[in-house]
Amino acid sequence: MTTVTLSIKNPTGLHTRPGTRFVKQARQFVSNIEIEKSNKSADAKNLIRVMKIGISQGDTVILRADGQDETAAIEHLAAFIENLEE
Amino acid sequence: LVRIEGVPLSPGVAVGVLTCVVAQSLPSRRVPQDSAEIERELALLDSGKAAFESQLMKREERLRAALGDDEADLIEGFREIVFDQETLLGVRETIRKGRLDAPHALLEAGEAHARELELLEDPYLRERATDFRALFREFASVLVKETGGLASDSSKSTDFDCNRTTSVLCCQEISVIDLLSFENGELAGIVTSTTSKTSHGIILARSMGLPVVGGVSFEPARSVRVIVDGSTGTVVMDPDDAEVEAARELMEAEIAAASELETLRGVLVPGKHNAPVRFTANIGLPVQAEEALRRGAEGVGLMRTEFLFMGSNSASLPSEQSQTSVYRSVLLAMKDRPVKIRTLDAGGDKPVPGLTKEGESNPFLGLRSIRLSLSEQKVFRTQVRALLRASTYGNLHIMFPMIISVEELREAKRVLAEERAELARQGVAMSVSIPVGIMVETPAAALIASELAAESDFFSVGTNDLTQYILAVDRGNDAVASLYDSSHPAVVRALVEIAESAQAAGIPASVCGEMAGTPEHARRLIDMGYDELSMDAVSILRVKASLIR
Repeated sequence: MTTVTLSIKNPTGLHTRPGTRFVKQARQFVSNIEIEKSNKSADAKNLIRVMKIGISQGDTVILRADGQDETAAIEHLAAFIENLEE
Repeated sequence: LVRIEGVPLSPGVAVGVLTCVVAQSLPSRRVPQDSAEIERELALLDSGKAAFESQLMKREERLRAALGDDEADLIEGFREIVFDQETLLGVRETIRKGRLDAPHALLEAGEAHARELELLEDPYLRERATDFRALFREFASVLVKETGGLASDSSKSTDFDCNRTTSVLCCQEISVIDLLSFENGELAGIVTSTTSKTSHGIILARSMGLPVVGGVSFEPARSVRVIVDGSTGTVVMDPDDAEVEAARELMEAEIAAASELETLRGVLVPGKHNAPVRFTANIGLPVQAEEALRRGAEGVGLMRTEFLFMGSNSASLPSEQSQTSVYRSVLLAMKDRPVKIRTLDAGGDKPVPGLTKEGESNPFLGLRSIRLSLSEQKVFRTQVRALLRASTYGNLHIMFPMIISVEELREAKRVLAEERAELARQGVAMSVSIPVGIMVETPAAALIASELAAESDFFSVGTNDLTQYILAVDRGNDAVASLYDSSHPAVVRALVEIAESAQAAGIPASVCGEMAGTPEHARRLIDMGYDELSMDAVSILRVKASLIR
């Protein structure tokens, strides 16, 4: 299992559009990937679930990946979140 | 002719025929009675899904061609939501158990999602509930259409419209789906009963350049000609020809202005010392940052922070955290462009209940602005800490208002330094160098400009207060308002000396008062050596155009 803790900097957080893009990125990996905010976690490959844990600007989230490409997945998704601008 | 005052949600003027979208009522729910009916409902769900999916893909393509990836990706998100596998499994289960027919099972699933979103703290995310409901309602109505179950009298047909004039959509909530059901050029504007500025519908309408007036509801039956003025928030029903003509002229002027903006966006206006003049915006609310950029602003020359305190009382002054998030959102929106945030300028004509003193005999000369901040340091320190915390998110400049002495500036800077040290001890990340400047808006500051320049990183001249204080004229007082004159030689002399003091000290000087946004004054200010003019965003183009002519 690989994990990373990140802070959400883009103004709209992981809402419909950035959320859609994030979920699409997560699906490129075979590992199970979870995103967690204040003890609520969601399957990072499911947009509705990700939206329902309510990730907004300023939040701290934990990404967790478990599987054969977990390191690459975490690196890629962390960079994706860091670079969100919307 | 009826004139209705609503809320301006998206600027611009449009004339069109009112086209009301009635939330199509579905046939009443029908519980499948036997396994044959259940199978029919499941088959309906599948065929409806295929139909709806191809509709959404077509709209996505159309949007991608018209507005680019950002807008089109939103539809992709919608498909993701409405065709979510887990949700559809649940819907099938509901049907299979014989609880509901397919359209109502979809509505129920959408409603359940929407309710969960409404429990979230983030208001922006809560509003997505509207999208969820609209999406599942649309999905359900596609199913009903598949069975021929809806009367074919399209809600969008109009009898008035024989030569295909454009439409003005009237609806309760602006659904993205409705917006996209119009062909290019068919839709001119929107009248809606909501006043939300952050729904996907309104955001999309704005990026499509559609004027929108909110807070207005209609009896949907009538299709008449209307004028929608999204800049003022006015709707005119059944206007006469003269009024339509006037509206058309306004439309043309706006279109011309908009295309002129594009040509002016990159044009540089040389300043006195050859470096180009910077055109920036005065903003009072964080949402205005985005509009400022659209209107060609190269930064924020003045962000007022009074709005944060206006609705408050001593028990509920804005917290450090909420202030941080407001400042951060503006800094992020402006990317790396400079943003000058002015610390609280309460008092005078801007009382803050629970903070400013009541019953002062002369509030303009009273305990206001930086004086209040330095005497009520708790509030000031909270604001300063919030600014420091936000500083890593962009190009923050901090500016103190109404300074009259070097001592005041030093005291304010001392507070800033103390809070920085405290936050650093806590390990908070902050921008290493934040320019700290002052508003030059008192005769005292103008007279000791060179001393102040030696300890400031920049000057910003507030010409409204400066004029008022130099001339001792309250322009809010009708009896003396005619004496208020920013071209008075005393004011002009002060402006020249402030610019020269800044120049001598090697610091930039900007003007953020009304003079900066007035073409005839703007020229003179540039000639005096001011290198930045900050004004209401709508004026930037007009002023720039007058300067290069």
